[in-house]
Amino acid sequence: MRKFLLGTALLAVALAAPLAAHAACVAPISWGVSYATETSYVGNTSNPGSILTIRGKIDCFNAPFSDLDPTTKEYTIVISGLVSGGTVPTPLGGGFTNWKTVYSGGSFAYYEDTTTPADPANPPTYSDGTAILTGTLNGLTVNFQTNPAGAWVSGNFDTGPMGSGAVFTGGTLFGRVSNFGQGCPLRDTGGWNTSPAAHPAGYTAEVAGKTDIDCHPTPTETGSWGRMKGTYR
Amino acid sequence: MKRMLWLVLFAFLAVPATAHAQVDELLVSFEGYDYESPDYNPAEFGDYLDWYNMVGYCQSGHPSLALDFVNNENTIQFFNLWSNGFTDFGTFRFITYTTGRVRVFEDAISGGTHGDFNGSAFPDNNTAGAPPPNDTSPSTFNDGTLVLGGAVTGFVITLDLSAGTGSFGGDVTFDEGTKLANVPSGTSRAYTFAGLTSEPSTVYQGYDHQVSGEIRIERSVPGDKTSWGRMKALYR
Repeated sequence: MRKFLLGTALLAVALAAPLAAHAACVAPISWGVSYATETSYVGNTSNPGSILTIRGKIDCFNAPFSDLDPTTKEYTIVISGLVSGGTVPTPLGGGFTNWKTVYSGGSFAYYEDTTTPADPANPPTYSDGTAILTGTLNGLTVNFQTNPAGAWVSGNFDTGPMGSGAVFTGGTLFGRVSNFGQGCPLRDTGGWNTSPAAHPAGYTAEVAGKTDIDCHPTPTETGSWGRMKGTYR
Repeated sequence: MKRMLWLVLFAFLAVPATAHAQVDELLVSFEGYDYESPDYNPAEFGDYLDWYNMVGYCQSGHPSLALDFVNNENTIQFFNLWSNGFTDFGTFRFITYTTGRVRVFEDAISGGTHGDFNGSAFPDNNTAGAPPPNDTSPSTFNDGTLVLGGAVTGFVITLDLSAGTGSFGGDVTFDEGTKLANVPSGTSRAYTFAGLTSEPSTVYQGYDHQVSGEIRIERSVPGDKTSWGRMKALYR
């Protein structure tokens, strides 16, 4: 028990990384300008089987990554392998429509790079450098709304609640997002902008995202040996 | 004659290129939390006359705004947005709002007041904070220098009640702030959007959603005036 508590205390100390001189943010990882692209997408509709990829830059870090400074190095995220189940429109009244797409699968990686600036026209520039974090998703859901004129109004995306399958699996900083070798759950969420002028040619949406992490070790409970033995009787 | 035909065709093709090109750019990105106050019906988010508020930090800005993230903390506040009521369509809730406002503030990191969501008795990173409004929120998010502000119109929130997520969107008309003149020229429209998440482990007590969004601008970039001779020289 003492070793476990000491380990927890050391982990807490390790997580209290020094602050870097950049903008304040709420989530551990806040994305900057990011874009989504698909292999089969027409109008507001993602066709079943279409593969979604998201490429973005990171513009702010919070604990446990407060020591990373996106103003001195470039940090990027690439989410790939999300398979579309097709887009379902739902009338919201007044001529407004919600467009919902559920994607399955998916994986992600965050990179640290000091040489090549990320360029939406050159996708490999997002996945060069050192993979500092990698992991798997368990799907992603996109909802966005259009007005009576058919123009985009607002939208969001979500990889699902903490514990629904998205976890970290590796990367050079895996130790900061794992407990005793087990990757922590995460949740990617944010805004989804399909306004045509908001993204470069070849992309389908502009994304305002972030990554939340639930890395709290499972809390301990005090109990007697008698109660513990009773659990196994 | 053949050369003349090519020139006529080229002139025809060149016209759209010299017209105004539409460019959509990030003006400010932000992240924070939203809450309702006054909240006449806490059981229903977005009920009639509930007041939508959002406070948070700005992470990045358009170069023309020259926001100094090294020496200043830049914060944002949405307020004065009164719900016109909501309508549910299956699991989706659609809420419209009256005209409200958004403001961006600049406060020195050294000697200024850090934006604190929880109240002075519950510093940040403590999810057991005091519900807003409290003694630090929104007051530590709307202090300092007002650098940019404007009216928010056509504001709507759409929630997926089954997932606890949603989004907001609306148009912004800037009309105040020390950096009002720094909004890029040719801006024809400004708008805001954000994703909303009600993940229990990431939302402070008393707030409804974590908010991640942007204010963007659409602007027309005029073409350059030139002579035929100079244009032809480009292709020689």
